[in-house]
Amino acid sequence: MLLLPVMAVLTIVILLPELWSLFLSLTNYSLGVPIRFIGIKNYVDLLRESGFLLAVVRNFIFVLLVVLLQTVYGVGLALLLARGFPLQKLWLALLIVPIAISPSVMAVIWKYLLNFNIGPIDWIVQQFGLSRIQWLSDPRLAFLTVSLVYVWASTPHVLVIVYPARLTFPQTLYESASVEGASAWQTFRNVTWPLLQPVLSVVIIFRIMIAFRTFGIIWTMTQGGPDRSTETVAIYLYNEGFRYWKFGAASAVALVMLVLTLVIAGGQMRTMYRNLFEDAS
Amino acid sequence: MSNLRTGAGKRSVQWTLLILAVLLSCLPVLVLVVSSFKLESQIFTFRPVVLFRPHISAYLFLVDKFPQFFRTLLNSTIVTLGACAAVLAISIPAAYSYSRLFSRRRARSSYYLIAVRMFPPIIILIPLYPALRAIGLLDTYISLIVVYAAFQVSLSTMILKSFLDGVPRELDEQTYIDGCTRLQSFWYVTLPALAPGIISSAIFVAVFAWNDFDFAFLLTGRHTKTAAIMISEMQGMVQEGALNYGDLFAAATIHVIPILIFVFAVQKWMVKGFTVGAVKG
Repeated sequence: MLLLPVMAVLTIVILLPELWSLFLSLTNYSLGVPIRFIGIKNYVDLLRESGFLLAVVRNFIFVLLVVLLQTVYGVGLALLLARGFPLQKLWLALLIVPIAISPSVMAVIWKYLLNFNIGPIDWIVQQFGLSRIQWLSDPRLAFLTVSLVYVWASTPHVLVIVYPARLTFPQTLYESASVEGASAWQTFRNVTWPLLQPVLSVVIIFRIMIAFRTFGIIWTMTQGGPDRSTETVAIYLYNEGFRYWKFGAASAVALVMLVLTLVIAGGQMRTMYRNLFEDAS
Repeated sequence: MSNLRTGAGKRSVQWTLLILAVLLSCLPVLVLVVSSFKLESQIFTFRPVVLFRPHISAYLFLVDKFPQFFRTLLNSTIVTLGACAAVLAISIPAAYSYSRLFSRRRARSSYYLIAVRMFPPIIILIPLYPALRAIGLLDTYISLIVVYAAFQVSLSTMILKSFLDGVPRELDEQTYIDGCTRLQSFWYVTLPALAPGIISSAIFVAVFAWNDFDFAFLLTGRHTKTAAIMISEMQGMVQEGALNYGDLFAAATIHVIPILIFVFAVQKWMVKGFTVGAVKG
């Protein structure tokens, strides 16, 4: 009874549309055209479509790059902050500021900061005697620029999980490491790293899953351009559906995206379940 | 003596790193806020203007010539509050059920919530958009609120369940002895004790709904456009020369400040929610 509303909402908004989408992916459905069943043609076409394959490859490079950077930076910040500073809570609050910023405001901020003509970053670059950089309009650079902005936006998500976890590590282990004269590296290698591993593996899988579906921040910064250089699977999907109105083909892309997501993170479901009910069972 | 010196040296390195990281997180947002008080000529220079007399002309412009922005701000407020209310109304009973009325079958049903959390939002828009359009629910508050609720109830249920597990059962049992019904006992005893959990999950819904780009971009229109979407459109106008940078910065500042204050105020509960959400749920 008490579970009825949650089950109903999830079924109506997510499960049924997803099943409908599964069916649509086998049709030529498009706005204003009668639906016709075409079997797996949409999927076959996708495999032949270099734009899609490139988007998949680009998406994997994006995920690899941003998750690596945000994990290293986020864990670094967590360990640094755990050293203890006066006004500890204030620093944490300031470090997680990007969490509260919407993609469209991020785009306002960063497109200004990185602007070729009036951007302060290019001004700084010039003060170092270098020539100005076309951060977002150079197709060879835009992908890296967007990735770095994404890292700026998402690193706090690593910090807020790793930092509280780090505070639970037993202080006595660190004390005995210091008594035995262990170097900072040895302490990290033998004390921090093993304790960090469980939380880190969950965080990394979560961040991979979230980075994989990125849409808003890329769309507001570059709309997938210039020259499709920042077109990830989510952008490709959006274009298929809402620029070309090919809902059948877009459904096929969506299903590929869902399957890839489940391959990445499906293994976490059991862990999440067990953690949710660990006290009761 | 030399020990002391290296200790102090290490400390200053730590401080330097911390300050740099805090600047990296906050400076971009600070630049936005500060620049919104500049005149257009002070923004439109390659050499950044650091010291200037603040002007509120951009804000006056928004009030005078661009009142539609405030309309979208109101829309954002409506859907954010609506989504918070909807999510809590759905997930509090569900969390209560998982925490207090334990049975294996009931517990198994949480796999549904866990699995659904993994669905990338954008893939649901492909089937949802034509469906909502067909039944005339595009560009309505209710569709946006229900979709936000569907994507947030799962996390919220998990956060609330974990907080409820921490509220001692003896509290409920005591009230049964005093002749309370289950509902009375829930309302007068459990619910107040659950307040931190409610705040914690409401933060996530509020930040999500206020900042959302992906859904609002497609599901809103003339009547329900949210401020996040409006700001993105205003950025387009700036690029076409139809609007000043200052006006865009002022709008973005107005959008960012309330949520930033909110996140600062409730930071303590937010961190706890992250821990539950990412590591446990």
